[in-house]
Amino acid sequence: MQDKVLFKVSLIISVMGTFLVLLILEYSEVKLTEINSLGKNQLETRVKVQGAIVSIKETPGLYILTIKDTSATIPLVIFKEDTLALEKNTQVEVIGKLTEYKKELEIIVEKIKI
Amino acid sequence: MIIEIIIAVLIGVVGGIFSGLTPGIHTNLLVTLLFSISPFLLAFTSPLIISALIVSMAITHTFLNVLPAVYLGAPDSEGKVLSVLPGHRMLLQGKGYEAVTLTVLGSFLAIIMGIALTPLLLKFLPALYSSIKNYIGYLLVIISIYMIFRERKKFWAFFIFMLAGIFGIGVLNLNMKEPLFPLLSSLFGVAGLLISLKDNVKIPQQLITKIEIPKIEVVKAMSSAGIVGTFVSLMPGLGPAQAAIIGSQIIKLTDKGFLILVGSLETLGMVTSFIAITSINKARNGAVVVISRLMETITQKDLIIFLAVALASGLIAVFLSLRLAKIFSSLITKINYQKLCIAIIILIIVMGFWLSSYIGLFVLIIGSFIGMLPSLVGIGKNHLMGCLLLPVILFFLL
Repeated sequence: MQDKVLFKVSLIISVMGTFLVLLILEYSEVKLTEINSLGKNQLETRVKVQGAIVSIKETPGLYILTIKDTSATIPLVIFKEDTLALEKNTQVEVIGKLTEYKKELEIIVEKIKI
Repeated sequence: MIIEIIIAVLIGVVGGIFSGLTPGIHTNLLVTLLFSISPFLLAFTSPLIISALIVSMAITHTFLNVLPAVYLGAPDSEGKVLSVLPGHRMLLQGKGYEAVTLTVLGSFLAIIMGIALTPLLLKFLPALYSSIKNYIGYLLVIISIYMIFRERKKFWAFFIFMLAGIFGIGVLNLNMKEPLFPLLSSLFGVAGLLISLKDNVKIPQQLITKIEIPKIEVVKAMSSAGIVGTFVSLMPGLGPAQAAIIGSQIIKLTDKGFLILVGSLETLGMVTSFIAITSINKARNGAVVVISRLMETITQKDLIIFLAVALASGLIAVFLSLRLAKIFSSLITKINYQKLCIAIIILIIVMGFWLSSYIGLFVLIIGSFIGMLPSLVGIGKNHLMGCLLLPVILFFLL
């Protein structure tokens, strides 16, 4: 295949493919879930939960928070970029990846809002 | 404890060989796997030993990954010299072994340099970080603009940076497992292999002779690495390729010097990330993230152990890399290069599907087409790092 043809094909597929990725993203909004309905079948996927902070722990590079909703509690892992401006009992909404550590589910936080 | 550390170093080296030699496999993938089985491992050993294993694996990876980078994905260099990486250029001149040797030399010197700089970094990194932390987003914008403006074809450099960036934002936000694997292995792996196939590249006979190490280039490359490496270790999203371009602008280097610089920056980045977690509490890569999960605190004594592990695994990795480079150099002309490229593409596709399902395959296909654009246009592949840089820039600026 000539370089010019390959270039045009690559350009069209690249632009259309990127547009398609954004389109899939637009139509795949993460739905709010109760903590106790999170299951291992959702591992490594993105989830959204709400709850009040019940504990805050710190490791060298991370904050580990636990939040509680009406159904259960779950730990949240947050990478340290800035100082964490959150306190106990603050109500937060979190989007992040559901993972498992020591047989317990936890969320690696991507977005957190009060 | 010493015996446990030695065992951890050896297991880590084996992991690093696997991840370094397999195109598309990043240490993060193995480290995540290790983290998931760490509760089981912690029944037999301590978090420090598992962390030492991770350090050994991550350091070995930075040495061994030069082999697929040099021996695979080489384009036909005729007429597009500027966009061909120095490692590939040397491979096509029959000097693949020399390219690996120079990169490995850079990596090993980076460990020595990292250890020598540790007292200084522990003292000054917090002040350096606090002075730039509010400007990280702007600094990344300036670096990206600089990269674009140094290209002859500025429009295409900008276009490909933005396209890769928007693609990266989309993929990283899709609800899929392991998005980084299909994203990075398509842009930087499959695309290069497809270009090799298209160009029907013939790898010439490889020379394994005594290599003259250009001392002045070593001094220049390592000086550049010292200046740029420290700065870049504080900047998320920047890889060794961008760092090397910045470094080679500060101090002009030949291809040989550039290879020493690339090797040194990758390893130095890893070594300084262990120092950064101790001094500024920032995890700059997946290996350090897991270490910071395993260890409640990281003391200076732990850091000394990590640096000793880095040195030990680095020594083993030097021997392994050079030995394997000799084997690769003799095999690469005996096997069918086209079939090898196809086999590796199939391996990446299978892994992409296994890790990220159908959506992973979709990302692999689109990413491969985007990844071919720089070679087809005739600009550097470093603009593809927009896939990580743009999301990081937006994170810091918005």
